[in-house]
Amino acid sequence: MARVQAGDRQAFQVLMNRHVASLHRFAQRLLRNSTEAEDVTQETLLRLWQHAARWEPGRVRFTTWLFRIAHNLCVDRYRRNGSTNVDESIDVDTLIDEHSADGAASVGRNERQHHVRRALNALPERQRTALVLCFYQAFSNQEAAAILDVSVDALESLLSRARRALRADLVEYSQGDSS
Amino acid sequence: MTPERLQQIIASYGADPERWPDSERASARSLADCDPGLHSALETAQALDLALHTDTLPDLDAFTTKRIAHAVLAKIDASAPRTMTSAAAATSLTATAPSLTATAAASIASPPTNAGDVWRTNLIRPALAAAATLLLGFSLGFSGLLTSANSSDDETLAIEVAMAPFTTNSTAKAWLETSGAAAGSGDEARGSRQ
Repeated sequence: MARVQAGDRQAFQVLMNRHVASLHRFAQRLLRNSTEAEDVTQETLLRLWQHAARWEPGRVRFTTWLFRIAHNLCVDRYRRNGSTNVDESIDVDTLIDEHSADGAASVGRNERQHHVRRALNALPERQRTALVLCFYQAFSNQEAAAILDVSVDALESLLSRARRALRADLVEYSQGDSS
Repeated sequence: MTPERLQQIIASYGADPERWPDSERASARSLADCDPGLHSALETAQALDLALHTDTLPDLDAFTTKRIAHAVLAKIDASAPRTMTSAAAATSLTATAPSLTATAAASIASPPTNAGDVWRTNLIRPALAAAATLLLGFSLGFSGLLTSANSSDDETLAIEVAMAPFTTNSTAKAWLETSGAAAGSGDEARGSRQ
C-alpha cells in the first residue's frame, strides 16, 4: 500500500487483483444487481488510487478502509434506487441445474436459496450489511463495526435483530410450504 | 463468560465458534460444551446458519475481473494530473485560434497607410492569415486527439509541449510580435480580445 501511495501503478494492480472479487461479492450481496455491483467495485478501486494518501497505517486496517469506501458507495446507490433495482432473475446455471438428472432436488434447493435471498433483501439496509460483513465476508466484529461506523455493541444488536427477522421469515416460509 | 453473554453471542454470530469474537471464543466454547441449557439456542442458530449458506454467489469470472481492472485503469488515465489537462488544452487551443483568425482578417481589411505598411500587407498579412488558418485546423484536429481515450500520457504530454506557445492569448500575441506580424494590426487584435 505504501507503494500505491507513492503512485506505483504496478503495486496498485496487485492490490486491485487481490481485492476485486471480494469487493464485487460484497457489493453484489448488498445491491443484488450485478451491473451496479460492478460499478461500485470500479468506483471503490478508483477511489483507492485517488485517495491512497488518506489511509494511515496503524490507524485502521487497509481492508477495513477499503470496504468502508465500498459500503458508502453501496449506501448511496441503495438510497438512490431503493430495492426496485434488484435483479432477481434466475441465472443460466440455475436453469441448467433444474433440467439435470438431479432436477427435482435442484428445484427444491433453488427455491430455498431464492427464499433466503428474498428474506435477506427484506432486511433493513444496516442489518443486512452487518450480516453480510460478519457472515459472508468473514470480517471480525471490530472490523465490521468500523466499516459500519458503529460500536461493537451496536453491531451485535444489528446482527441479532437481523438473524431474528430472518428466522421468523424462514419459519413462516417452511410452515406455508408444508401446509 | 456468563450464559447470558453466550446467548447474546449465539444470537449475533450464530452457532459456529469460529465466527465468535476472538477474545471470548475460548471461554464461550467451554461454557457451550458444559451447559446443556444452551443446546437449544445452538441448534436454532445452526439451522439459520445452514439456510444462509444456501445463498451462494458464483465466483467472479476472469473476463469480468479484467473488464473491471481495465475500466479502472482507463478512468485513472483519463483523470491523471498533468501540467495542463487534455480538456483545458483543447479549450485553450480552440479559443486562441479564432482570435488569431480575427487578427488576420482585421489586418487584411485595414488599408495600408505608408510604404512600410504596404510591404507588410503584401508579405506578412497573407502569411499571417495562412498561419492562423493552419493553427485553427491544427488545434481542432488535436482537440480530438487530446480527448481521445486511446492517447497515452506521453503522446498527450508531447502535444502539450509542442503547443505550449499557442495555449494562451498572451503567448500567441508574443509569438506574433516576435515574428513581426503584429506590427500593423496589433490594435485590432487587442480589441478583439478585450
